[in-house]
Amino acid sequence: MRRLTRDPAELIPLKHATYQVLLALGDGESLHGYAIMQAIATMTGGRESILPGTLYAALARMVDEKLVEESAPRDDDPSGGPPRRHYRRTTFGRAVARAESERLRALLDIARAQKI
Amino acid sequence: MLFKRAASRLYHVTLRAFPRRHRDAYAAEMIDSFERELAARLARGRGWSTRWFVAAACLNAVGTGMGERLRQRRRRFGPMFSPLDVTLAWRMLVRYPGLTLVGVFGMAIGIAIAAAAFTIVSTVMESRLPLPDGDRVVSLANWDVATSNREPRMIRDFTAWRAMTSIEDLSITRTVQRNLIADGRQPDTVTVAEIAASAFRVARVGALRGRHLLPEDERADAPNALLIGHDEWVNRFGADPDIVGRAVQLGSSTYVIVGVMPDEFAFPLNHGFWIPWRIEGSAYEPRSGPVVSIFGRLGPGATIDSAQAELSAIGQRLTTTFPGTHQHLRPRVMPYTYAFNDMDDPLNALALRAIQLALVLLLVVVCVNVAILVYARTATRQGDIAVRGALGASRRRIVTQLFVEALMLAGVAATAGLGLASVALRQLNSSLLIVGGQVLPFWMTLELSTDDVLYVAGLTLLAAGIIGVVPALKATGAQVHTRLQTLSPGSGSRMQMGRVWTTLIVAQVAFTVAVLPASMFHAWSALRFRTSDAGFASGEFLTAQLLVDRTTAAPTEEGERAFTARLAAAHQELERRLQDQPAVSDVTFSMAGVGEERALVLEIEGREPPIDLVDYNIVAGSKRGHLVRFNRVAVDFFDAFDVPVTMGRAFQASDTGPGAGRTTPGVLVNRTLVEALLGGASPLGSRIRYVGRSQEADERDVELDRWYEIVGVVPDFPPTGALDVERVSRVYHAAAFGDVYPAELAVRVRSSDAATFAGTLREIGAAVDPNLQLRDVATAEMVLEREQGLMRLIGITVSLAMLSVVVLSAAGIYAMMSFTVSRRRREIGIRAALGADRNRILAGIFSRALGQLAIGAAAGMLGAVGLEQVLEGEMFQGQGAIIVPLVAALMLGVGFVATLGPARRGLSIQPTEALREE
Repeated sequence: MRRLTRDPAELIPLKHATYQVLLALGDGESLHGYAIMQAIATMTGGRESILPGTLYAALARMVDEKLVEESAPRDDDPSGGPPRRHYRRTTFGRAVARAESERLRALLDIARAQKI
Repeated sequence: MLFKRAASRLYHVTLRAFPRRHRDAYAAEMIDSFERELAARLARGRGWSTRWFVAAACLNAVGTGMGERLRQRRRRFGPMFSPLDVTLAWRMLVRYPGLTLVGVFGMAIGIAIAAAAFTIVSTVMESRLPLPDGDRVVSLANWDVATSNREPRMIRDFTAWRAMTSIEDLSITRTVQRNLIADGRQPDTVTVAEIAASAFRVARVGALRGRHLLPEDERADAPNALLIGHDEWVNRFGADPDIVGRAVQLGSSTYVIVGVMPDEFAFPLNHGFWIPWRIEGSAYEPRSGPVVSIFGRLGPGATIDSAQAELSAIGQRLTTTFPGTHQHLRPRVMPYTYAFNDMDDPLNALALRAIQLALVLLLVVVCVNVAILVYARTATRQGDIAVRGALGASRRRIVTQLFVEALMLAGVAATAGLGLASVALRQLNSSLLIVGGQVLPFWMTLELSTDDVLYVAGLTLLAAGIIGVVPALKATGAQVHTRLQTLSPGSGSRMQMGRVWTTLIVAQVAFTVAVLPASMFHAWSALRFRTSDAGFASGEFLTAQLLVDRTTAAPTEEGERAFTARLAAAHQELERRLQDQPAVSDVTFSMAGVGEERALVLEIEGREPPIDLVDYNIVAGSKRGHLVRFNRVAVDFFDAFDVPVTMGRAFQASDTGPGAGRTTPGVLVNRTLVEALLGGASPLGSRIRYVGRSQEADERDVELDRWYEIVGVVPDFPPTGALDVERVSRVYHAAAFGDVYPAELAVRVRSSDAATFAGTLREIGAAVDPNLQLRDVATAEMVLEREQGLMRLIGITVSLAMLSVVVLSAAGIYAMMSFTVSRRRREIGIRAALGADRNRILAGIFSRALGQLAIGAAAGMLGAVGLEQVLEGEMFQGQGAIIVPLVAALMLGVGFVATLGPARRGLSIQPTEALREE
């Protein structure tokens, strides 16, 4: 297993959009921006969505922080449109998502204990 | 297609908010994602959700883009400002206390008003219901296109609407009042939702204890089930853990408590008690029956648009079946909350937003004033700024420092403004809601939320931008270095007030003179209104509204007669038992409370009605006549209130009952009617009739075109000036038990605090008939105090706003005058040194400075006269000739005082000193 060079806890708590994107990018999946928007809507049953402005600002930050890695824009996209970058979750991104999930789980446990 | 293109274009433009680097990298993909999402939504229909998506995406792009710019900027230049800037800004606040006080006061009022308005508008316009998937809950209502009003009598329509497939669990409810009689507690009138069990499937909230209502509870032979709210469980039943299964009495029926709902659940509106719906809708004629609310949950895949299409089709069928009643009815589906806030009419939403914008503009006006003050202060620091520039400080650096100073001033004002808004909203919550006799729907709370604080933060930035950046840019313009060259000890500033600032001041004087007098006048009226004595021993009277539970069966003529007989018997028995109480000295009743009489249009026999039509909401008959207020009162009504009959005779028992059916029943009138309508002549024997009826006067209570004879005169009651600002003509008719419904009961107690009798009154009422309801039991004094509280709040708010305008105007004028005369200080000194006459010099200064103010004052007076003409004398109620010149004189006086100090200093300058400066 590759060793992480940074502590995931440094980035916790995550911004909601960052967490959404990390979850939408499943293991090994490589998705373009609009596909990420759709994946977020699908995985939450339409309860949550992300707007393009927030998404691309988040992606730019996540690339800087090495949470995701981007591939060069592809020209062979079957759905047409401009060439689009694809994004893949990094090992560090996965670790950060896990740390955030742990944090939320701890909160949820407290809420459950209080029957909220 | 056009919509799609316009939306894409708009989105394209909003992306300019992002930094260029981000745009270059991502703009094409962002636009592509936006267009794909838009196309997907359009394929599902171009409803409000698509428009909302476009608006949200554009706003999001602007917000996120600005955030990215800030992030990038921080990376390049570090933080926007340093702790030193904050320290310096704090010092400036302390060093110029006058400006700090005036600026903070003015902006705090402006921010408080804008923040409170934002809270109220957001609360009223709230469309989300705080229930699981609350945005899928919808209301259904009939709209009468002929009268542009809702038709709430929809019980018959409900049976037809149930066939809808796009709405699940269509449900119905109505609100009723019942006497709650439980062991160990005083009887109390409570608000109950009579509601279909399907409502709990719509709400998707389970019971905290026991169960909620079920369809089987609706059967006529089922035991009476009662569901209670969390607050009622805690406050009325002491959080009894064995509450489920406990029996209580609602009116004359016994109910068993089947469950307790969780805290904060008050669906459908603001309810704490729920009983099953057992009304058979098909028994009612179309467009008749009780007032009801109908709602449901959108089915899977259904939208408001698709539900509307289905409902409209059913509506058309109903129009064909019932053309007489449904010809003008158009059923509507809307978000649940819209049925209670009238936001289904886009014009209402627009009007609210316009008010909100106008109040932000008020803040902008305030900030412009403060900016003038700040600009004048910045002018005195020209040397300091020039030296900093010469030592290498960039213009950005200096502007940032001045902006931080402004931000700190605005921040202090915003904190004070938030505090003021919070207090005002709390006051409004308590007074407005009590006066309205209603509580807000459970999803509305008039309190500051995080959104409101963010909004105020935005306002603070806006204010800081106006008062800091604009003067700073002007002060650090291209000539800043040349100013360093001309800088010498003792010389004045070279900065000029400029035409724009001068014009602003003149315009402000004009605006203040034109608008301030009317606002002052109305603020004073609001403060004076109902703040004085009621004109009778209000502390000795306990008042309550008297009602009797009505049967839920469809009304018949015979049923109505039986109801009236029951009401009369119960009322008479209640009065008899109250009279037997040693603590009670008198009991009486009326149709409307004292000072709450209803409006009608009156004609006097043999007298020509006035030419001008009555300016009032008259819904039936003619508007040609005199506007009067009428009441139906018990025969002993005036005796109970110690009001003597000053002319003619008092009411007699024969004025009511079958004897009153004679051709011209007798009425009493008040003194004002005699003086205003009959010119003071004896009214006895004169005949009057009503020719027009207002909306508040029920047609059951008044008969148009029937003649009445004036048999007596009473003084104005309540006395003019006590409850009424203006004199009101009143007519009184005699009423017997059962003649008025609901009746306003007034019990006079042999004590200065009638409130102590409230419990006994409720107990006696419940003992006479468990179905006899006594609502809003309170002393007359308390009722007046509640109304006074609201009027006082309005008065204080308007007065504070006006005061801030006056203070800021005065400060602005002072700053401008002081500044312009200071600039001429050396000129004055030199002229004095050369032997010019001091009086002539002074006259020269004043004529120029006050000339500008006079232009503003004259324009303002013309504006005030114009407004008075447009509003046909409503603005000043004849007091304009005094108030307007007074305000104009005040403004001129402020200008005079502001000019005096610098002019005197100019004259005292030594000639040698003046020549050396030159």
